[in-house]
Amino acid sequence: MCGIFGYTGSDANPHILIEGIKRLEYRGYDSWGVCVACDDQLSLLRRVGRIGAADSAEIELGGRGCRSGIAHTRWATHGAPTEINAHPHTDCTGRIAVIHNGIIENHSALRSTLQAQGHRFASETDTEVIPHLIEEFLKSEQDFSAAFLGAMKLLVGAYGIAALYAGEPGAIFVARHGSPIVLGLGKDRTLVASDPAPLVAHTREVIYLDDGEAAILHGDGFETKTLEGAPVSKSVQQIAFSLPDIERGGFPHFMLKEISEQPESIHNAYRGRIVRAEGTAKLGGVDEALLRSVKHCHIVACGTSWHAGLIGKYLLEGLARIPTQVTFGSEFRYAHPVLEPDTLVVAISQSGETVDTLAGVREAKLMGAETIGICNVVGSSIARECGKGIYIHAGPEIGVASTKAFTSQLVVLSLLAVHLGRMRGMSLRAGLLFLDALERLPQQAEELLTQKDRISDIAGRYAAFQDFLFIGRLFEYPTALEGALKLKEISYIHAEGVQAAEMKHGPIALIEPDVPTVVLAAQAEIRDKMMGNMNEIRARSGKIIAVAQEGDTEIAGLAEETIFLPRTLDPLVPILAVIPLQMFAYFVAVARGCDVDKPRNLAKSVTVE
Amino acid sequence: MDRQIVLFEDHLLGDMNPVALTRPAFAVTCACMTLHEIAAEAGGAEPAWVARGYLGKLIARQFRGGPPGDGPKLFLNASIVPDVRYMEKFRELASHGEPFVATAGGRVSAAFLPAEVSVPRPLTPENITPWLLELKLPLLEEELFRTFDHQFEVVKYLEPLFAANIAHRIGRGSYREVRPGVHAAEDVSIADTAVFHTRSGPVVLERGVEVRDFAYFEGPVHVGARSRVTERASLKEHVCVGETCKIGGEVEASIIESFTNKQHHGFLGHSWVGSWVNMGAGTSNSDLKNTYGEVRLEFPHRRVDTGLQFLGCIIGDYAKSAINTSIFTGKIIGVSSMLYGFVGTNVPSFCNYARSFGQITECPADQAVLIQKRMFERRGIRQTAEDAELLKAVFDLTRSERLITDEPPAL
Repeated sequence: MCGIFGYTGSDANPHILIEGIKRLEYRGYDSWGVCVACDDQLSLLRRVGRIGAADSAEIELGGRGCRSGIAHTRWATHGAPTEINAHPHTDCTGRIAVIHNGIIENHSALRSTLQAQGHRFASETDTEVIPHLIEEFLKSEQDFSAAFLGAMKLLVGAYGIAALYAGEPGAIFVARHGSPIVLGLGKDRTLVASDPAPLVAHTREVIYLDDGEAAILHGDGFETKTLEGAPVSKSVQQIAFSLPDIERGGFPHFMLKEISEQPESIHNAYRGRIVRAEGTAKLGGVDEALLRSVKHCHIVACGTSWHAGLIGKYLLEGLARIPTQVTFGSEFRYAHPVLEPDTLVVAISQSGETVDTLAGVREAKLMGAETIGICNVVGSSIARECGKGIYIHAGPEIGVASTKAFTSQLVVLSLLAVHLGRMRGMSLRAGLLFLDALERLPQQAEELLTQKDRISDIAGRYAAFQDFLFIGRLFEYPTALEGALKLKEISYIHAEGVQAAEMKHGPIALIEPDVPTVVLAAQAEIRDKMMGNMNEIRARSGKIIAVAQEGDTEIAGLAEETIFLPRTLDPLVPILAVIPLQMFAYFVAVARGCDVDKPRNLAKSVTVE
Repeated sequence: MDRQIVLFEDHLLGDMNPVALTRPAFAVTCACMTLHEIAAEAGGAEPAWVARGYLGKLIARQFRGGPPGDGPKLFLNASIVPDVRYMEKFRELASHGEPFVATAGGRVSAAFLPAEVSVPRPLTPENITPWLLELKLPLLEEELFRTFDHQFEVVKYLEPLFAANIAHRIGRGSYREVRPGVHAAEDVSIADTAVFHTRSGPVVLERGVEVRDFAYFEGPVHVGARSRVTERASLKEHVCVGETCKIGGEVEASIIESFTNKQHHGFLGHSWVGSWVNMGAGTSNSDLKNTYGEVRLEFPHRRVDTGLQFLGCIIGDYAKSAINTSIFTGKIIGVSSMLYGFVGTNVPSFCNYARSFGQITECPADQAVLIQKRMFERRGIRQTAEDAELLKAVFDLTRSERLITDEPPAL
């Protein structure tokens, strides 16, 4: 997730552009850049770090009479946060500059083709193919607009794009497919941005582009068209939100915003990584020879990522038949772990800075093991230390309670497991079925989010309880741990995750009318066993909130409340099941008046032991 | 039937070497049938095919179906085992007309495409599976067909397929039952002293077969047209011999493709022998380990468990063995190689293999082409440029197998 901003009109100076992307910094903040078009040439500035840290005296760019400019704040997906990888990116001539939000899935193929045609690339980004592609089209097209649209049609993936061309310095060329684009209509200026936040300083009149649409902006107006070039009529809307509201996408808290982003973040985690033609996944950051040689896995993580790791164990053992252990980052160094030859150590951390996990990675490397990281933040310490890894592409996660990063980690672990499985005898059919189910998850997550009001009602009824149990088996056991963690970290309610079969070895003694149990019972394989647990709880007058497969009336008949999940394969159940648990925790915390985004005693990234 | 059957090779044929190195996978014989025969009979027409480029020119002479045309098509993987019991299923899938894709293990085994789906040109073994999967056709739950995934499976499937396949041959052919369970086509000559046991299965002798004195048969056995079974030969249970072969000595549960000579004494068991092979007198193979354990194939970086207690050898086309060659259990002999003495390891294609005498050298492609010409002439066949080109192409393809260094070459 990145932020893009563009301005065309009189006095397109870099300070306006920088103010614009400052409003978008919550969308990404590892590097930034601006470009202005004046006097038949482009002037470019790119920097690493937050925009707020920039010395304004340094930002002197272009001259007087600049007529348009674009700016970008980056959340790295392809290539580390460096000046070379920061946007805007330019073509070989330096006359075309492009900023981009999204992921270009076919960038490798396009890059190879363009390189064969003589184009020289400077960065590691997927974005850089775009200006070169436009440059190539410009050799045969009549005008820049046609070249721009021609290039857009070859892109596969998600994009919101804005481009400048030195030959038309008063224009900004914009296109959207899968990533948001908003146009702002000012009195003597026209603007473009990833969302309305940077536009409100200039206008409250906006136009939302739809997928497959493009626009050409001038200081005194704009035209919108399809990517095929047909004119499109768009309606103008008024921005009705305050600035903080806009930054949170209209949501009252970042946590709810991030919960609601999961259909997109789940999609982004597998976008461009599914190779249907082979019934497997493609994981660019990890070399194939390494994966072929793996005989054991050892997952190192903390907190929510540790829960993802526990599910990863079931995935790797079930799909790929690779024996897998999961260890807390804090214990890895001190537990004297036994690493068999050909053990792959997998470090999972949203921020990539979790100090205990980082220490585990270093210890594993000292022991001679191969390490890979599963991180959200590109270029983070764990990503760098591992040298190899898979980014989850969830976009910035600002709420302290991790939500979308968890589901994205599970998607990536699923891809890793299916890829390793296909290398080890998993049938093509099993691979295809798994990937098909994975590709249904974004839509299914969307369906789950429509239950928000109902889950809010349930949360309201249970917000006064002081103790909760969350129980599940197999894939739903770590999901239960995660549901309990969410509840305790933001609502300060005591909640315990328990493996359901272990209830009778102790925790069932806690069951009483004032201790409700959240029962996860959506997996087909162990559904009947979970019904046994539910009957045991009911016999002791315990209240039950069940999470079950849609249409499972038998489970619903045993529970006070039931939240239904769309049907999926058992290994993918956690990705859906955790979403109502996140919502439940959120609404309980809100009902109790807790500070959801900044819970007491907690920090987003744990960088101390 | 207006629905065309297309037999397609895919990109996963590497483990079928050397069986499918010199012939399309649909032309591999197992249990006296090929998939091509079965598909042709099911479809009532020559099936179209998609095969590796280097085979194209040569096989176009023999298999006239050519590349797939327009209209609805049933795609069948060329590696599907030639089981006549699949014939009805082929017909049902073709006539039903519902789009689907079916898998077998790690590969696409079949798919049906309606007429409106246009076929990419060219369609190749490399692009056909990705294309079929990207179409996102409904994925069938059941794995409809078994496929040959490794060369040794040609031997593995011999027994399970034999009874149905040979019964089908008898049913559709015009044979006379010359002795109980012995079915002979025209111009077959059988010595009076030949002995046939058919309690376990029939013996089928195709047109022009000659059975000489004291030959012993224990069915099921199938002998292809114009082949000769020499004096005192013993063919025992699940043997199928191609056309124009000479067979002597003891043969058990084995497949011998056309134009191969194994006319002297010596044992051949649980093996597949390609075309234009000559086995010198006394050549024998082992098909059982002294431990009576499972036979395991050894390759440089991996071992393949076959699940078989009995497995002899796999011998590629044009290979030759000298007198008294002894081939150890479960060995793979490449195309155009020449064997001397003990064969205790796999043998790459185009090798002079005299390991027990300390000599392993490369057999140049030109020499193989010259030998091919001489062999063809003995059978009255004119060597064409395509025949020679095939050998040269296979020589290039198998270059990496041959490590002519201090180390013995190995597959």
